[in-house]
Amino acid sequence: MRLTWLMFQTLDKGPVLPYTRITFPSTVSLPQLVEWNKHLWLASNELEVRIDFSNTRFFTPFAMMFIVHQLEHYRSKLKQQF
Amino acid sequence: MAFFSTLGTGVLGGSNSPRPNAVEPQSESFLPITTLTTADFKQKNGRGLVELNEAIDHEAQILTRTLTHLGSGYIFDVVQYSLREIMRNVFEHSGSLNLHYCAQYWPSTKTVELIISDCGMGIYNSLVLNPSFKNLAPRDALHFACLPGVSGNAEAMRERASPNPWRNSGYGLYMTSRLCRNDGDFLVISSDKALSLNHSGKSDFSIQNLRGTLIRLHLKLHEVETLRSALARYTVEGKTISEDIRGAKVLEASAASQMLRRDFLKAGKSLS
Repeated sequence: MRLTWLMFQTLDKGPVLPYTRITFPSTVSLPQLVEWNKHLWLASNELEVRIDFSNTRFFTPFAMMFIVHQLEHYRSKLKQQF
Repeated sequence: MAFFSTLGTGVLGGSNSPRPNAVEPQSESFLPITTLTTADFKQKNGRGLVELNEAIDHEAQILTRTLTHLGSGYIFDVVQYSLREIMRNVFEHSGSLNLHYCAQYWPSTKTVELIISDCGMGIYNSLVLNPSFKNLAPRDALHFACLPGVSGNAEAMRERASPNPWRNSGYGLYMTSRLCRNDGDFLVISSDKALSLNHSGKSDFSIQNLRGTLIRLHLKLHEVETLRSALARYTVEGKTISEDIRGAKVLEASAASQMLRRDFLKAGKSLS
């Protein structure tokens, strides 16, 4: 799996290959984070996952830490650089 | 919150990118996502465990001042104490050589959100190292870890008469979660399990594929008593509770778990 994250609407301008897109709402609750984590886990079988962070400006510190924690986890697990 | 700089600048969309998650100009009361390693502390002033704990205490003081713009008082004391106790827990129990933290302080509501994470062995794997807790299920381990007198380090807990103020007494998570439960909440996620505690009770749930431990302290800091009196009260409460926990050591909290930074300074002066 290749993981990509971007914050603008350029997310769909990359190479036209099949990919799974994950987008955040403008605010995120704990259950939504749990769902996001599950989504990312399920998407790990996909060739490419693109994560849209354009809505995360007002996320709580916890939400951001959770996301960073899990992305670091996947990064080390996959031994790939973003 | 320096979110994207944590992930790596290469992921941004270019030099004309807006600053995502930038804190608003009127509110600079935050600590960005930052990594601390034991090597950072050792380089500063420590070589052994006692020195590491003292270095953590000092670091927590600096971080609290940066976060709150305060140098004393109830809010300062609670945040400094909470940061110190959770950071100590990571290095004493997780096996991880580093931790990540971030925090935000909202002065108008006297609210602090403080998050500390590590990629260590997790609370369950740490707690079952203590033979008294070897049969615990992962879910129960989280519940137990937030009770007084419960620790994975059985050997350290036998040091009843140790003069070391930093000895392990199994009160770190209990005291910090107790402070949060006054009006805020405490969340711990570890080993695919999560536990949330607040003044009205607790709830737990599972989470898939989470490595290490992630703790959130949500503190509403309305001063109703001094931190010193609150900690003394929790210690008495904790000792009573621990008497009913099979496998828990009926100890009072270690000196460190009852003391504020300035208490250490006073104790140091009186000894010198």
